[in-house]
Amino acid sequence: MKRHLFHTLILLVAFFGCWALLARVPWTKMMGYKPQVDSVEKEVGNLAWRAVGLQMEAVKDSYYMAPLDSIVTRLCEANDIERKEIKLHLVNDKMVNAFALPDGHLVVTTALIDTLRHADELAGVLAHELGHVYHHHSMKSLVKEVGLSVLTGTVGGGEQARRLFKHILSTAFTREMEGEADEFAIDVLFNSDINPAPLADFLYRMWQENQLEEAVLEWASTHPNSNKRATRILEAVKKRNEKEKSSQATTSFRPALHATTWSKWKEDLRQL
Amino acid sequence: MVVRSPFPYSPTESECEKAAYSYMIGLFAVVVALPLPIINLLTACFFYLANRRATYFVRFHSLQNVVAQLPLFVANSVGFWWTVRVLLGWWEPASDLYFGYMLTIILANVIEIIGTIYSSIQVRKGQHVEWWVFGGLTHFFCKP
Repeated sequence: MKRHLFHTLILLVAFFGCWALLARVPWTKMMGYKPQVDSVEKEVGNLAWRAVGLQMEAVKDSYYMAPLDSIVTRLCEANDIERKEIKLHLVNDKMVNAFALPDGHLVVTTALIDTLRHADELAGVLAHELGHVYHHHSMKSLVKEVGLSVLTGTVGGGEQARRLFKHILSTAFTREMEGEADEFAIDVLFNSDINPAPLADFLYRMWQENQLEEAVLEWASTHPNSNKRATRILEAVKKRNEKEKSSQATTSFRPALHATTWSKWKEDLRQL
Repeated sequence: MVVRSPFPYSPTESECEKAAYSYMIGLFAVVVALPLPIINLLTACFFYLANRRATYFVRFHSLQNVVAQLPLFVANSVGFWWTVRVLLGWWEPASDLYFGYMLTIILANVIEIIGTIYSSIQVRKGQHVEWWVFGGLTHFFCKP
């Protein structure tokens, strides 16, 4: 009996050992494998953006888009994210919000930009939303809430599609997804040499305003526990600074946008 | 992996034929029902149940086939459902870990197929064969 158990153990070790060895080979790199966006997610993303476009006025002028585009491009290039997979949209709306839709659509409102005090805060918000895009949180939330069959059924459009996309705009991600997006944002910002602390400042400011005002800012209402998230981000910054101190490496942060560019852009957006 | 060993008695021609079928029937099932892992296991189980009152030689080899199929069924099922999740694409893309696992179970299946063919040939000739690990476990459950 002992001999049989020993042989069984050897067989298990051989199986997992073989798996561990083969897993060390960079198969995905060798094959040039890139995960393909599912066609349903592509269709849902396009429909979602069309639904948003019906409710909000999209700003298409490249003059207004350029600063936003430069921040997103910097974040993507520093983190090996394919820029062309991110479909960036600026909408002229009074709702203070930025949100991610399926298939890489990222929407920012002019009211949000007006609320922010520093370009690094915007970079932080964009990095956070990029986290939702990168982890396909929109699609995962939708599939969980309405089911896959409903989603594939709405691809054709119609009343069901309109109801579905109202749901997209009001859906909040789970706490785990928000945590994941925050972790992603911190890494992305550090890799882009952008200070994450302003993002924490913004979150804390939103939490304070949420506590004091009855009018709830939309971004804060779909992103609860902002004060805890702000604390977590500041702890991550502190840890990184300590790590750099011990390794004697230094990260010199560069602003996401030049101060003049930022203030001029905000002024121009107010005129829209 | 598969070793010849002495058997308590010399099996008859019909016993050898039946015992060889227990291995062959599994191979036919794999060809017909790939990639569903359960078909092979079900075929082996049905064959054993149909022959559970047969002679020791037939019972041993049909049970040995079942015992050998069980861990492979578990490994193949994990591979099957992991592949479904990867194909759906949203939860996880294919990774080096995934490809490593698929290659491992392909290797395990190839070894199993070679062992099955060899066992079938030897058993048809009247030669008793035992698989490493699975032969010993079969002795535990199957008595003369």
